[in-house]
Amino acid sequence: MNLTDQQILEQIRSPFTREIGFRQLIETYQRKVYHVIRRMVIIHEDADDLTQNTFIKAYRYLDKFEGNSSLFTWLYRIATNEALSFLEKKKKRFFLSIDDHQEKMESHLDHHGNLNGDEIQVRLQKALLKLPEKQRLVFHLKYQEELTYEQMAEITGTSVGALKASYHHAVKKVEQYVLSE
Amino acid sequence: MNKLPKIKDLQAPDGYFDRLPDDILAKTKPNNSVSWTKYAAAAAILIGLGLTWQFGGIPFEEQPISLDEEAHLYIESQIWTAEDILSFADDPNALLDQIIEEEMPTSEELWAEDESNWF
Repeated sequence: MNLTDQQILEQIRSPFTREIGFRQLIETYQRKVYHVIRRMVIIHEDADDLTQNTFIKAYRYLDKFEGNSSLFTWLYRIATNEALSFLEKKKKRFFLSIDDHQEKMESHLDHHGNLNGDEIQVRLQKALLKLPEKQRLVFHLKYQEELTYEQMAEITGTSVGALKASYHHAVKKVEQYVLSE
Repeated sequence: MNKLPKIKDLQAPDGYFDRLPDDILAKTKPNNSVSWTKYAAAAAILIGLGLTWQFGGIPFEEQPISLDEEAHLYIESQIWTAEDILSFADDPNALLDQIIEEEMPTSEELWAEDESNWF
Protein backbone atom coordinates (compact mmCIF):
# COMPACT_ATOMS: atom_id res chain seq x y z
CA MET A 1 0.00 0.00 0.00
CA ASN A 2 1.42 3.37 -0.96
CA LEU A 3 0.33 6.09 1.40
CA THR A 4 0.61 9.79 0.62
CA ASP A 5 2.76 12.07 2.75
CA GLN A 6 -0.42 13.48 4.26
CA GLN A 7 -1.68 10.04 5.30
CA ILE A 8 1.72 9.14 6.78
CA LEU A 9 1.78 12.38 8.75
CA GLU A 10 -1.76 11.81 10.05
CA GLN A 11 -0.77 8.36 11.30
CA ILE A 12 2.34 9.75 12.98
CA ARG A 13 0.41 12.54 14.71
CA SER A 14 -2.02 10.13 16.33
CA PRO A 15 -0.53 8.55 19.48
CA PHE A 16 -2.25 5.24 18.59
CA THR A 17 -0.70 4.89 15.14
CA ARG A 18 2.55 6.82 15.61
CA GLU A 19 4.82 3.78 15.30
CA ILE A 20 2.97 2.36 12.28
CA GLY A 21 3.14 5.76 10.61
CA PHE A 22 6.83 6.15 11.29
CA ARG A 23 7.53 2.67 9.95
CA GLN A 24 5.60 3.63 6.84
CA LEU A 25 7.71 6.78 6.50
CA ILE A 26 10.93 4.76 6.72
CA GLU A 27 9.73 2.12 4.26
CA THR A 28 8.65 4.78 1.77
CA TYR A 29 11.84 6.84 1.83
CA GLN A 30 14.66 4.56 3.08
CA ARG A 31 16.08 3.74 -0.36
CA LYS A 32 16.11 7.34 -1.55
CA VAL A 33 17.64 8.61 1.69
CA TYR A 34 20.23 5.83 1.77
CA HIS A 35 21.34 6.42 -1.82
CA VAL A 36 21.59 10.20 -1.53
CA ILE A 37 23.85 9.65 1.48
CA ARG A 38 25.77 6.70 -0.02
CA ARG A 39 26.66 8.72 -3.12
CA MET A 40 28.29 11.27 -0.83
CA VAL A 41 30.06 9.02 1.68
CA ILE A 42 30.67 5.95 -0.56
CA ILE A 43 31.20 3.42 2.25
CA HIS A 44 28.12 1.38 3.22
CA GLU A 45 28.78 1.35 6.99
CA ASP A 46 28.97 5.17 7.04
CA ALA A 47 25.87 5.46 4.87
CA ASP A 48 24.04 3.07 7.22
CA ASP A 49 24.88 5.15 10.32
CA LEU A 50 23.89 8.40 8.63
CA THR A 51 20.65 6.97 7.22
CA GLN A 52 19.65 5.79 10.68
CA ASN A 53 20.58 9.18 12.17
CA THR A 54 18.50 10.93 9.52
CA PHE A 55 15.35 8.99 10.41
CA ILE A 56 15.97 9.26 14.15
CA LYS A 57 16.29 13.05 13.79
CA ALA A 58 13.15 13.09 11.64
CA TYR A 59 11.33 11.12 14.37
CA ARG A 60 12.41 13.64 17.01
CA TYR A 61 11.45 16.71 14.99
CA LEU A 62 8.36 15.44 13.15
CA ASP A 63 6.08 17.37 15.49
CA LYS A 64 7.79 20.56 14.32
CA PHE A 65 7.37 19.70 10.64
CA GLU A 66 4.85 22.25 9.39
CA GLY A 67 4.26 20.79 5.97
CA ASN A 68 5.52 23.86 4.09
CA SER A 69 7.70 21.53 2.02
CA SER A 70 7.19 17.89 1.05
CA LEU A 71 8.35 15.13 3.39
CA PHE A 72 10.84 14.10 0.74
CA THR A 73 12.59 17.50 0.55
CA TRP A 74 12.55 17.76 4.36
CA LEU A 75 14.16 14.32 4.74
CA TYR A 76 16.67 15.13 2.01
CA ARG A 77 17.64 18.29 3.85
CA ILE A 78 18.34 16.33 7.03
CA ALA A 79 20.14 13.59 5.08
CA THR A 80 22.38 15.92 3.08
CA ASN A 81 23.20 17.90 6.23
CA GLU A 82 24.17 14.66 7.96
CA ALA A 83 26.40 13.63 5.03
CA LEU A 84 28.08 17.03 4.72
CA SER A 85 28.68 17.29 8.48
CA PHE A 86 30.16 13.78 8.46
CA LEU A 87 32.57 14.57 5.62
CA GLU A 88 33.49 17.88 7.24
CA LYS A 89 34.36 16.05 10.47
CA LYS A 90 36.43 13.49 8.59
CA LYS A 91 38.37 16.28 6.86
CA LYS A 92 39.09 17.97 10.16
CA ARG A 93 40.18 14.69 11.69
CA PHE A 94 42.69 14.29 8.91
CA PHE A 95 44.44 17.39 10.24
CA LEU A 96 44.68 15.60 13.57
CA SER A 97 46.60 12.94 11.62
CA ILE A 98 44.25 10.02 12.14
CA ASP A 99 43.43 8.83 8.64
CA ASP A 100 42.84 10.12 5.15
CA HIS A 101 39.16 9.51 4.54
CA GLN A 102 39.40 10.66 0.92
CA GLU A 103 41.87 7.87 0.16
CA LYS A 104 39.68 5.40 2.00
CA MET A 105 36.69 6.29 -0.18
CA GLU A 106 38.73 6.04 -3.39
CA SER A 107 40.12 2.67 -2.41
CA HIS A 108 36.57 1.49 -1.62
CA LEU A 109 35.59 2.31 -5.21
CA ASP A 110 38.48 0.22 -6.54
CA HIS A 111 37.33 -2.82 -4.60
CA HIS A 112 33.55 -2.49 -4.71
CA GLY A 113 32.00 -5.54 -6.41
CA ASN A 114 29.25 -3.47 -7.96
CA LEU A 115 31.71 -1.51 -10.09
CA ASN A 116 34.20 -4.29 -10.79
CA GLY A 117 35.49 -4.23 -14.31
CA ASP A 118 33.66 -1.03 -15.23
CA GLU A 119 36.57 1.36 -15.77
CA ILE A 120 34.40 4.30 -16.80
CA GLN A 121 32.18 4.02 -13.71
CA VAL A 122 35.19 3.90 -11.38
CA ARG A 123 36.72 6.86 -13.17
CA LEU A 124 33.49 8.82 -13.01
CA GLN A 125 33.01 8.12 -9.30
CA LYS A 126 36.61 9.11 -8.62
CA ALA A 127 36.18 12.31 -10.62
CA LEU A 128 33.21 13.15 -8.40
CA LEU A 129 35.28 12.58 -5.28
CA LYS A 130 37.64 15.31 -6.48
CA LEU A 131 34.86 17.92 -6.30
CA PRO A 132 34.25 19.97 -3.15
CA GLU A 133 31.52 18.18 -1.13
CA LYS A 134 28.73 20.67 -1.76
CA GLN A 135 29.45 20.78 -5.46
CA ARG A 136 29.36 16.99 -5.52
CA LEU A 137 26.02 17.08 -3.76
CA VAL A 138 24.65 19.55 -6.33
CA PHE A 139 25.89 17.31 -9.13
CA HIS A 140 24.18 14.23 -7.69
CA LEU A 141 20.90 16.00 -6.96
CA LYS A 142 20.73 17.36 -10.50
CA TYR A 143 22.39 14.73 -12.67
CA GLN A 144 21.50 11.56 -10.80
CA GLU A 145 18.27 12.43 -9.00
CA GLU A 146 17.07 14.77 -11.75
CA LEU A 147 15.61 17.21 -9.23
CA THR A 148 14.57 20.69 -10.32
CA TYR A 149 16.66 23.64 -9.19
CA GLU A 150 13.68 24.77 -7.11
CA GLN A 151 13.62 21.46 -5.21
CA MET A 152 17.37 21.64 -4.77
CA ALA A 153 17.05 25.19 -3.45
CA GLU A 154 14.55 23.95 -0.86
CA ILE A 155 16.85 21.13 0.22
CA THR A 156 20.05 23.15 0.41
CA GLY A 157 18.61 26.54 1.37
CA THR A 158 20.62 28.07 -1.45
CA SER A 159 19.51 30.28 -4.35
CA VAL A 160 18.70 28.77 -7.74
CA GLY A 161 21.38 30.96 -9.36
CA ALA A 162 24.11 29.67 -7.07
CA LEU A 163 23.02 26.07 -7.67
CA LYS A 164 23.05 26.52 -11.46
CA ALA A 165 26.55 27.98 -11.34
CA SER A 166 27.70 25.21 -9.00
CA TYR A 167 26.31 22.49 -11.27
CA HIS A 168 27.87 24.08 -14.36
CA HIS A 169 31.32 24.10 -12.69
CA ALA A 170 30.89 20.53 -11.45
CA VAL A 171 29.98 19.19 -14.91
CA LYS A 172 32.96 20.93 -16.51
CA LYS A 173 35.39 19.55 -13.95
CA VAL A 174 33.99 15.99 -14.17
CA GLU A 175 34.07 16.01 -17.97
CA GLN A 176 37.63 17.29 -17.96
CA TYR A 177 38.74 14.60 -15.55
CA VAL A 178 36.90 11.70 -17.19
CA LEU A 179 37.84 12.60 -20.75
CA SER A 180 41.42 13.67 -20.04
CA GLU A 181 42.84 10.21 -20.78
CA MET B 1 27.18 16.38 -20.62
CA ASN B 2 25.93 13.89 -23.20
CA LYS B 3 29.41 12.39 -23.12
CA LEU B 4 29.01 11.18 -19.54
CA PRO B 5 27.12 7.98 -18.68
CA LYS B 6 24.67 7.72 -15.78
CA ILE B 7 26.33 6.83 -12.50
CA LYS B 8 25.72 3.31 -11.17
CA ASP B 9 24.54 3.40 -7.57
CA LEU B 10 26.62 1.41 -5.10
CA GLN B 11 24.33 -1.31 -3.81
CA ALA B 12 23.46 -1.99 -0.18
CA PRO B 13 24.03 -5.54 1.16
CA ASP B 14 21.25 -8.07 0.53
CA GLY B 15 18.34 -7.73 2.94
CA TYR B 16 19.57 -4.39 4.28
CA PHE B 17 16.31 -2.54 3.59
CA ASP B 18 14.28 -5.34 5.18
CA ARG B 19 16.12 -4.87 8.47
CA LEU B 20 16.54 -1.10 8.46
CA PRO B 21 13.04 -0.06 9.68
CA ASP B 22 13.33 -2.36 12.73
CA ASP B 23 16.86 -1.13 13.49
CA ILE B 24 15.71 2.49 13.41
CA LEU B 25 12.51 1.89 15.39
CA ALA B 26 14.51 0.08 18.08
CA LYS B 27 16.65 3.20 18.50
CA THR B 28 13.65 5.50 18.90
CA LYS B 29 12.33 3.57 21.90
CA PRO B 30 13.37 4.66 25.40
CA ASN B 31 15.84 2.25 26.96
CA ASN B 32 14.35 1.28 30.33
CA SER B 33 17.24 -0.95 31.39
CA VAL B 34 19.59 2.06 31.44
CA SER B 35 17.57 3.81 34.13
CA TRP B 36 17.57 0.60 36.23
CA THR B 37 21.37 0.26 36.00
CA LYS B 38 21.77 3.95 36.85
CA TYR B 39 19.86 3.47 40.11
CA ALA B 40 21.80 0.28 40.89
CA ALA B 41 25.14 2.06 40.32
CA ALA B 42 24.07 5.02 42.46
CA ALA B 43 22.98 2.65 45.26
CA ALA B 44 26.29 0.75 45.10
CA ILE B 45 28.28 4.00 45.36
CA LEU B 46 26.20 5.17 48.33
CA ILE B 47 26.63 1.84 50.13
CA GLY B 48 30.37 1.96 49.43
CA LEU B 49 30.66 5.51 50.79
CA GLY B 50 28.58 4.58 53.83
CA LEU B 51 30.82 1.61 54.64
CA THR B 52 33.97 3.67 54.15
CA TRP B 53 32.62 6.35 56.51
CA GLN B 54 31.44 3.71 59.03
CA PHE B 55 34.80 2.01 59.25
CA GLY B 56 36.96 5.11 59.41
CA GLY B 57 37.72 5.52 55.70
CA ILE B 58 41.07 5.36 53.93
CA PRO B 59 43.86 7.56 55.36
CA PHE B 60 44.41 10.61 53.12
CA GLU B 61 48.07 9.85 52.34
CA GLU B 62 47.16 6.37 51.07
CA GLN B 63 44.43 7.51 48.65
CA PRO B 64 45.39 6.74 45.07
CA ILE B 65 45.10 9.58 42.54
CA SER B 66 42.27 9.36 40.06
CA LEU B 67 42.75 7.99 36.55
CA ASP B 68 42.20 11.48 35.10
CA GLU B 69 44.84 12.99 37.36
CA GLU B 70 47.26 10.22 36.50
CA ALA B 71 46.65 10.74 32.77
CA HIS B 72 47.24 14.51 33.17
CA LEU B 73 50.55 13.81 34.91
CA TYR B 74 51.68 11.56 32.06
CA ILE B 75 50.63 14.14 29.42
CA GLU B 76 52.24 17.07 31.23
CA SER B 77 55.49 15.16 31.67
CA GLN B 78 55.29 14.33 27.92
CA ILE B 79 55.38 10.58 28.48
CA TRP B 80 52.07 10.20 26.57
CA THR B 81 51.22 11.94 23.29
CA ALA B 82 47.73 12.77 21.97
CA GLU B 83 47.93 9.68 19.76
CA ASP B 84 48.63 7.50 22.82
CA ILE B 85 45.59 8.88 24.60
CA LEU B 86 43.37 8.15 21.58
CA SER B 87 44.68 4.61 21.36
CA PHE B 88 43.76 4.04 25.03
CA ALA B 89 40.17 5.27 24.58
CA ASP B 90 37.34 2.72 24.32
CA ASP B 91 35.81 4.80 21.55
CA PRO B 92 38.42 7.10 19.95
CA ASN B 93 35.86 8.24 17.36
CA ALA B 94 33.53 9.57 20.04
CA LEU B 95 36.45 11.33 21.73
CA LEU B 96 37.48 12.99 18.46
CA ASP B 97 33.90 13.99 17.69
CA GLN B 98 33.69 15.61 21.11
CA ILE B 99 36.92 17.57 20.51
CA ILE B 100 35.73 18.65 17.06
CA GLU B 101 32.28 19.65 18.41
CA GLU B 102 33.97 21.82 21.02
CA GLU B 103 36.46 23.43 18.69
CA MET B 104 34.79 23.58 15.29
CA PRO B 105 31.67 25.36 13.94
CA THR B 106 28.25 23.67 14.03
CA SER B 107 26.66 21.95 11.05
CA GLU B 108 24.26 24.87 10.43
CA GLU B 109 27.23 26.86 9.19
CA LEU B 110 27.83 24.27 6.48
CA TRP B 111 25.13 25.86 4.40
CA ALA B 112 26.57 29.41 4.24
CA GLU B 113 25.98 30.37 0.62
CA ASP B 114 28.97 32.67 0.17
CA GLU B 115 31.42 29.79 0.66
CA SER B 116 33.70 28.95 -2.23
CA ASN B 117 32.86 25.28 -1.75
CA TRP B 118 29.72 25.71 -3.89
CA PHE B 119 31.86 26.60 -6.91
